[in-house]
Amino acid sequence: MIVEINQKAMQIDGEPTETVLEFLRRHGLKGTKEGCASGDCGACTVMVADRATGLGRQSDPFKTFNACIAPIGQFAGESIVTVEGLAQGDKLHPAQQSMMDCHGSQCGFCTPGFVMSLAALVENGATDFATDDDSVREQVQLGISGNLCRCTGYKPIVEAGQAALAAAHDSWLYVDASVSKHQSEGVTDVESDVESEVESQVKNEAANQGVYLPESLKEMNAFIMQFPTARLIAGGTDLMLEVTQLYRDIDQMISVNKVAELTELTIEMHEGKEICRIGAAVTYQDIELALGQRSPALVDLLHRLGSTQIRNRGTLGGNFGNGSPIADMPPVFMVLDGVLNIGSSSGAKRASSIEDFYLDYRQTSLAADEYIVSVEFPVQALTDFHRFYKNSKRIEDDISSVLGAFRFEGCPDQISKAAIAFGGMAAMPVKLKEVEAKLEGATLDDELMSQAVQLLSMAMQPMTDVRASAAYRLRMAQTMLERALREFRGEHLPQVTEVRHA
Amino acid sequence: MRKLGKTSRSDSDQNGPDGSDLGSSSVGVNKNHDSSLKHVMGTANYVDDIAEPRGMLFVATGLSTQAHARIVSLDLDPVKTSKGVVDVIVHDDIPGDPDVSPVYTGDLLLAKDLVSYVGQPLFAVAATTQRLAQQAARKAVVEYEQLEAILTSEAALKQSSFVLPTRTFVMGDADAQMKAAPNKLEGEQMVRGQEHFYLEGQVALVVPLEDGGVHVHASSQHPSEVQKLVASVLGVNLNQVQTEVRRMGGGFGGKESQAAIPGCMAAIFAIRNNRAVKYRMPRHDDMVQTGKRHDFWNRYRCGFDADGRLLGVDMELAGLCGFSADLSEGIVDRAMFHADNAYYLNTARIVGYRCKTNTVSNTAFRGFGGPKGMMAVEAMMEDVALSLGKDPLDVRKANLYAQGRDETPYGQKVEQHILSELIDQLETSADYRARRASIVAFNKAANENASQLLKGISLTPVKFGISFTSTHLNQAGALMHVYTDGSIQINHGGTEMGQGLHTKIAQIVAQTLGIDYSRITVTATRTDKVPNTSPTAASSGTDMNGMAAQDAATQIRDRLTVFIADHFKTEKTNISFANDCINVAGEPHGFADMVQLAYMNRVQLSATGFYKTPEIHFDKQAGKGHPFYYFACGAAVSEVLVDRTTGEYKVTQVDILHDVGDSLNPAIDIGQIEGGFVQGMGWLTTEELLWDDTGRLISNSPANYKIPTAYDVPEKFNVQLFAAQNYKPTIYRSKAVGEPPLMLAISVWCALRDACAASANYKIAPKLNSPATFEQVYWAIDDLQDQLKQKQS
Ligand SMILES: Cc1cc2nc3c(=O)[nH]c(=O)nc-3n(C[C@H](O)[C@H](O)[C@H](O)COP(=O)(O)OP(=O)(O)OC[C@H]3O[C@@H](n4cnc5c(N)ncnc54)[C@H](O)[C@@H]3O)c2cc1C
Ligand code: FES
Ligand code: FES
Repeated sequence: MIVEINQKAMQIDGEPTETVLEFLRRHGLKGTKEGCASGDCGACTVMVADRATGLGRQSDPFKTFNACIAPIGQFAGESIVTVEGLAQGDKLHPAQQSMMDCHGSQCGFCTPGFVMSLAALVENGATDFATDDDSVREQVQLGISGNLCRCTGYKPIVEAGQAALAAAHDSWLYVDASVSKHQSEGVTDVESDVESEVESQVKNEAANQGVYLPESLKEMNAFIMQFPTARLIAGGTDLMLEVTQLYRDIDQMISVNKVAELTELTIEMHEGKEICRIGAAVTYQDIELALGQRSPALVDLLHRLGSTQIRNRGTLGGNFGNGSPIADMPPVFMVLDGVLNIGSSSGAKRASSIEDFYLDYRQTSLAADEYIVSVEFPVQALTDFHRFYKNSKRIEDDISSVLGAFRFEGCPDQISKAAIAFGGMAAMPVKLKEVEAKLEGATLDDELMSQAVQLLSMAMQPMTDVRASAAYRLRMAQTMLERALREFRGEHLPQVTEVRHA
Repeated sequence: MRKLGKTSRSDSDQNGPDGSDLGSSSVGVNKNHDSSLKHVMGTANYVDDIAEPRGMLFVATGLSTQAHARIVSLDLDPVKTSKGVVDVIVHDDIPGDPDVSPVYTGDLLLAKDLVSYVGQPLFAVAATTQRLAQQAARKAVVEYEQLEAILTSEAALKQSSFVLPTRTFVMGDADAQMKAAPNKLEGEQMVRGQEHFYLEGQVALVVPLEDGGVHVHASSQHPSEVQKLVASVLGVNLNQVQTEVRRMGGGFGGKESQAAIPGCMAAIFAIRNNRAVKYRMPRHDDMVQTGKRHDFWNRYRCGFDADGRLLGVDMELAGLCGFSADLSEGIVDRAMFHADNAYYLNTARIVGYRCKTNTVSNTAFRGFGGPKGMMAVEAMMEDVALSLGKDPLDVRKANLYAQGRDETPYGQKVEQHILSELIDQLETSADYRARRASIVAFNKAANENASQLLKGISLTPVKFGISFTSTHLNQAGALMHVYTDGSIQINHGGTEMGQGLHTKIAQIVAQTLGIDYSRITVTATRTDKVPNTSPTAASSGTDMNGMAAQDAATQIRDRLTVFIADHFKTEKTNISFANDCINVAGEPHGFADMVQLAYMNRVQLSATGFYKTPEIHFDKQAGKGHPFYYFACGAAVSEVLVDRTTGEYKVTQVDILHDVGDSLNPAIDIGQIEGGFVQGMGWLTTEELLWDDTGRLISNSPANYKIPTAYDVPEKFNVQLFAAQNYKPTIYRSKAVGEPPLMLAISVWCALRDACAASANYKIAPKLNSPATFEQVYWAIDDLQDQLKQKQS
């Protein structure tokens, strides 16, 4: 297996769970740092050149991600750029130059990660979408949302980002959509024509490294049959924490993110309804790209789901697949009338409602040979009134204490159909049928609202944990319901935590 | 003397802050951090980046799961037989002294038969990879006999469980004054600690030497202490151990005493196995195993007149020290030293408790207790203002130290009164009064319309004492070499953790010799170059090491002057150093040429410099003295927007005016102010340290312990330097800047409290603990509403 690092081919030669970060550092590329090994700090940020998008509009050619929780085996045939690959001779990348000019580093440990995030913004032409200074600032903040700095207080870093984006730059890095033509040099490189080798070696040698990269459902089914104990991996932003935090070994992983059928996002007419089908391996970034126009509320929520680095890798399949009660997407798709399409290595297929999918705390109805193929929902749902509210200790890059999702049909004084779901309020995501029933068909007045809010408190027994107390969670769920209802009635309720609209 | 006035970071390198050409001047200009190019290139080496010697071993530790227990049995066989394991050690395997306490005793490198907190290391394992070491460390089978655990300051106070004796400062008869005062109030607050979250975790790489000693690559603010403790656990002399620190990826106090632990552990394995050994703590281990900022439980009472002027103050500050003393003596002292902040208390009794609990031993953190004392008096200011219906700023101003009202509770007189002018200037530049008026109107309307958003604003000052309160630490050394090509190496006792110390030292040397800054390289801090150094702490790094470096540079200059006067047969007064030249009777000679000439004439081109801070003394028993050489001051205005239905808020604007004396490097100083402020803001807002009721830290990862991100920093964030030189003859009349700005963030907490108070029409003092998370703010407002309802019914 070969991966291209800064335009040089390198042999993937470690354990299956070896992370990109460990791989880089083991091979002497120590500019990329470990600050946490859990995807939270961004010191390990690197980027991958994206060559397969298939989503109509080209998505960002360079995607930042957390090297600390990404197994190198998943990057066979890919091209990764690290901080060592930015400068051209003596000439610094604009992101590097402006970080220096703006005094953006103090201890410097976070700096390579920030430089990578800013460089990605520059390379991706983030300013193309920015209309004014404020939106440039927002782009920069979003770009570095997964980077922590303990020294600077961020101000000079944000300024550096603005400065780097202000000047018009030609694309600095190569953006060849296929594995670029290059010479391989240096100690760790393989001295051969990489292009042909990537093709032929990926499949065979990947197997030897314990990371399997099927490209179709058929291939994936075969791998699952062959390695029944193998773990599925998509973005790895959840699974890899078992490896880096609990030190568990995983001998075999089947990567879903090259499987054609799982990486598609389609919107098609079906029985007279527009149905959106989101492949399980579609990343949040691509979901935003495809659906952002239709739902600003979804964009706002996605911008608070992890960080840019996480959203470049994390998938819907992983968000459901880990069975977490605090995952952000299940309540959202519950209220959008979403359905999970489930496949099996036997070739069998079934559909499941999201409620039926969850059995208990971190338990799903997936059988050992099953996996999520896609989530589908009627696009019409996004034209209804809908709101997604997230409460967390920190606004950016934090796990929800409470997530409330709401969709109402009807007119301001009467809801004809209500869909209400919460995350963080029970052992699994919950849909509040009683509250929905209470609201449907009745006159939506203050009295009904307060009854619904009361009823909600009876329907749920949240927990106290490090993120919030049970009492606060309950109050927040109530507040969210009330806010959604009042907004449905036409009130505008400003939010201090309104995250930027890109 | 130059007055720098307002300065900004965007001025170019070569120009003075006001845009003027400073010629060869090296101080007062915005030099980039000396490693900035390496930072952005990814080529700056941290300990973990050093090329690993062949056969190096990696360390992991097995951690206690109990807060207080006797170890009944410890089965390490599964650890020893785990893949890749080369060596395992327990307490009895430590060849020298197992106690690694910095000052007192009680910090064992590995637990003996008793564990005192969850996360305490019981044994250590060395294996061929970091991952294998961690996997092995999880395999031990430990049997405990549980003992009763004390987990809170309240419980410790109740049982008189203290790590060190309680101390009291007394000034006048506070009780009598409070009794007679027309107004009185009391309050209490819980102020939680803080995880350092330096981006680079604790780490050391130890290479064994041929004579039983070791070379330690450390990430430490206190290389001499690493040297001392490594020597002591190995049972060798100090001269067998060298510590080297090139740079840290952040320290913030967390690498003052704690950084010796990885060095000691790795050193033992290095000697036992004659192999290089690295111990890098994974983030989780670092968070549960090493000390943090202390929790403080503060209680206060005060009496005051109709203007809000304090007549008598009684404060009890209870620091949660954890299971051992570590540096808690000085930390609680410093909380007491700053319980007055900028205010004359008239009469006072300030008591500091050092609570002993079964939790990790808390340690130094930027501000070193100072922030905790200040929180108490700032809450008191807010309370007094609320009770009198006044703008808190007026109460603060009425209480500022001034001529004739200048004695601190510990007997030192405040000599330089700049805060009043500084606050006036900030009040105007930040348009405080008008903004406050509009905020009060906004909140009034919000209450009338029952709308969700409230605003708050607050201006708080900082007066922070500069010097180590342990007098002997106030000394520093430097070693300077001039080479025959005119290039210079300067080495000093301070360490670089991002604060720009090395940059400032190079500027000072360049200025002293009138030479080009680029001639100077500041080399890694090493205990075999400058011995017996003090920690880079107490904001004193530049003050002390800058003076020592200047001393060394001055000696070289004097030697060259004597030689050149002699050589050129001229008066010494005809020789000057400027513009990278040595001018001899008006004629410039290249510095390198003169150095070469001096070398050929056998002039010594190496010098050691030394400095000790004058004037300071303190009698710990009496609680009186002159512990600080001077005070650094500043003030901040913060404004917040709060959603009362959720407690969620945003800091919308911050204006800071801060006193760094004559700035050596405005860009670096402003960086310290911004960074310190945001770190302080994190401490008081989102960073919540939480333990469960078995004493286990549950905020044990960045996934659940949230330091600020870029989004949390307001777009309107204006930082200015106050134009005034230090009244003491410090290095180029500058002032220390490391710690003081952190406490400017108290303005954020006060602004949040102000917004909460607004929800009850500024009639009741809110109970707002710290950190003021969204949830805390929500409950503070909720509680006020309950109180309002009760009052009305
Ligand atoms: C720093 C950080 C911040 C985060 N913030 C958030 C947040 O704000 N909100 C939130 O909801 N989550 C958050 N997460 C969690 C995580 O990123 C998301 O749950 C993400 O969607 C997981 O997707 P993934 O592709 O990375 O999953 P993976 O890690 O690849 O997989 C997760 C699990 O799902 C299984 N799986 C993957 N694909 C499938 C499939 N097709 N069928 C069946 N099982 C499958 C895997 O076997 C594994 O058990 C965060 C994580 C990190 C590290
Ligand atoms: S090391 Fe912190 S995110 Fe990767
Ligand atoms: S510069 Fe130190 S963490 Fe960012």
